[in-house]
Amino acid sequence: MNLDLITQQILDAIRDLNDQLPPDGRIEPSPDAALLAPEGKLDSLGVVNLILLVEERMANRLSTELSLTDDRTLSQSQAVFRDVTSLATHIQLLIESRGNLGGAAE
Amino acid sequence: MSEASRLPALLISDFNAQNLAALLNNLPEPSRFAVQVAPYGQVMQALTDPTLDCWQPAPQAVLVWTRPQSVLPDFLRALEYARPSPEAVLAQVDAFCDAIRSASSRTRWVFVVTWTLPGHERGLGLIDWKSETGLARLLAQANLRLAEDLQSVPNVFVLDGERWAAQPGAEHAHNPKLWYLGKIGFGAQVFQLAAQDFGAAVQAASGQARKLLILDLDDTLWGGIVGDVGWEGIRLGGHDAIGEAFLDFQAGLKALKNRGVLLGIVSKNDEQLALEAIRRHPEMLLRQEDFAGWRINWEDKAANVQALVADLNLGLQSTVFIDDNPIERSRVRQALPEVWVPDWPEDKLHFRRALQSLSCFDTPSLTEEDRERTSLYVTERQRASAREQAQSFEDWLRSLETRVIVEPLTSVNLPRTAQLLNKTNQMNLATRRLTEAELQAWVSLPGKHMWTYRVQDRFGDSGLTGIASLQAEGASVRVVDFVLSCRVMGRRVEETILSHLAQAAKELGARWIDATYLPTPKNGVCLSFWVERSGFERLPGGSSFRRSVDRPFPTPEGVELVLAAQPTP
Repeated sequence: MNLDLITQQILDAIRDLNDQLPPDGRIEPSPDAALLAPEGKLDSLGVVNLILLVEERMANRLSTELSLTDDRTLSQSQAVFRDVTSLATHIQLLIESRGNLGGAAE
Repeated sequence: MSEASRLPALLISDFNAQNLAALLNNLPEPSRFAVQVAPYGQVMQALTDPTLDCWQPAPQAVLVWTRPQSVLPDFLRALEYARPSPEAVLAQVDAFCDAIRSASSRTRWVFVVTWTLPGHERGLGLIDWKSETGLARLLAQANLRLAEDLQSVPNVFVLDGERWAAQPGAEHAHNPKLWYLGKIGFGAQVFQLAAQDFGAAVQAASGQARKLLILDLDDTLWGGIVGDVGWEGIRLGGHDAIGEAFLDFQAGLKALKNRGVLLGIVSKNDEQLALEAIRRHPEMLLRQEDFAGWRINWEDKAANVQALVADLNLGLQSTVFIDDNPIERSRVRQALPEVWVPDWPEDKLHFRRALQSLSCFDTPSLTEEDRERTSLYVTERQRASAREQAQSFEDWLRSLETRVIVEPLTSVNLPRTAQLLNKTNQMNLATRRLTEAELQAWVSLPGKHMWTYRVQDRFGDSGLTGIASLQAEGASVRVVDFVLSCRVMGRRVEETILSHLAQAAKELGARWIDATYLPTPKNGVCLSFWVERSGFERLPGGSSFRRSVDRPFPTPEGVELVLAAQPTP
């Protein structure tokens, strides 16, 4: 699956997540944005919320069922949730590794 | 908005409520909160221990949201199918309510969310409602007991959690991932609904409910253009989906009217044609007497809304405007930003649903005066007509045969008194805003006295429309509250209340009656009365007034002052 398409879903999820964050805790919706504290602004609760929002978007918009709460993701969460691009790359790998191309056009 | 102008609120829950707190902190005006979250999982301690940090600064509003299994141990047994005792569940609800009562003494309002279960929880399946330990049945009993236990606590309100959980669907309401990863009880959409409702609930509890709903006619109250098709041709009722939807919408409006919301009409139309449709169409549910007033002409709608609101002696901030035409909505929104103009669905079949989703009419109590409000405006029209025919203002006043009935504050008139105190903006000397509990507490203090005034005349009963209170201050008594509904202003009721206060001051042994006017953007009319007609001396500085108790203060001519028998408090 195209990395840009995945990145777009993450950025939309960040926009929704920002509605729940105080003004000084919001994340800039850009591919370079750092996510996890201390570089980024997300605490563990923020990561849980982001996981749910990204999974929901991947399912609803790209017809791709995805779990970001599997051992593979959670055991390397520092690296996966470092920034938007690292998360998008991880999702792309997850999809490729199970050979699921989803329903979306590339 | 500065931190200082945010309303301090406290969230007490047995799940991670940080997401809800964040949504509440981000709500748009006027519902701005500074939310603290009580220590996670310590519900009973947080409710009963005022020394916990979360009670500082003192919250104005507290939201208590729990899962049944965490506060009702026997409900947990029911979830485990371990032979729970329904009586024990109810006793545990009572204990929980005792803790809520304790918390309610430390804040203005407590909002308690009803208990829910995830949609996937099937309990005992087929026999879940048959067995007295079925989860659904037990939960319904627990919620009913919760509502009954808290019914008599004036500053505690129960909010319907089931509605929030049902709206986004079971899958979105309870996501196991949220629970296992973050102990978050509900999904984002549930919290969004909860945040909106909590904001609306605080607005309602503080007496800021909207009172007037102004409606367009063509394609809003009925289908079609009455000027084109005549009253016989409009779509309303009948064997027609659109007609039925309009009729159902009118039924919703009638229900609002019966709850005390005034209905008005602002429509670009021929007045005679439009009123003829309202009078003659056989299926019209709303008739002329259901409307407090109307402006039906070809003028600008914003100007008509403003004029109608002024006619009814209300404020724009009390008004809602519904029109199917987005251009008219935009015009009124732009010209009158204080008027709430909700977005309105294009599809007529959704009108009733859109109406029922409005929370701006919610009130903390429903009184007899609310139910009769529209008829009070109808009799006011008759009164105004009599005034036009009278030779002079004095003749008209005499012809009204006004009676002002005085009663002390009692548990019976307390809800209406609190409502009037919190809603009245114009004839209000001090504009104190107090909950029922605060009002009761104030009156019980030594040297404090409060009376209510019910106004009647030959046209009808205007209900409890006045409040006054005195407090002893050495050789004087001070008028603390002097509140009169705009419905009865200008009929010498103001002077009658002062005459009664003078009499009461004498009985209390005071030498002077003092009063101080506290200005707000809306109570200028009160100052005018005190300066021009109160009979009090205006003291240097301009906002304080004094009168010797020895100076006789007769009741105005044509008005009868009646002291009601002392009711049982």
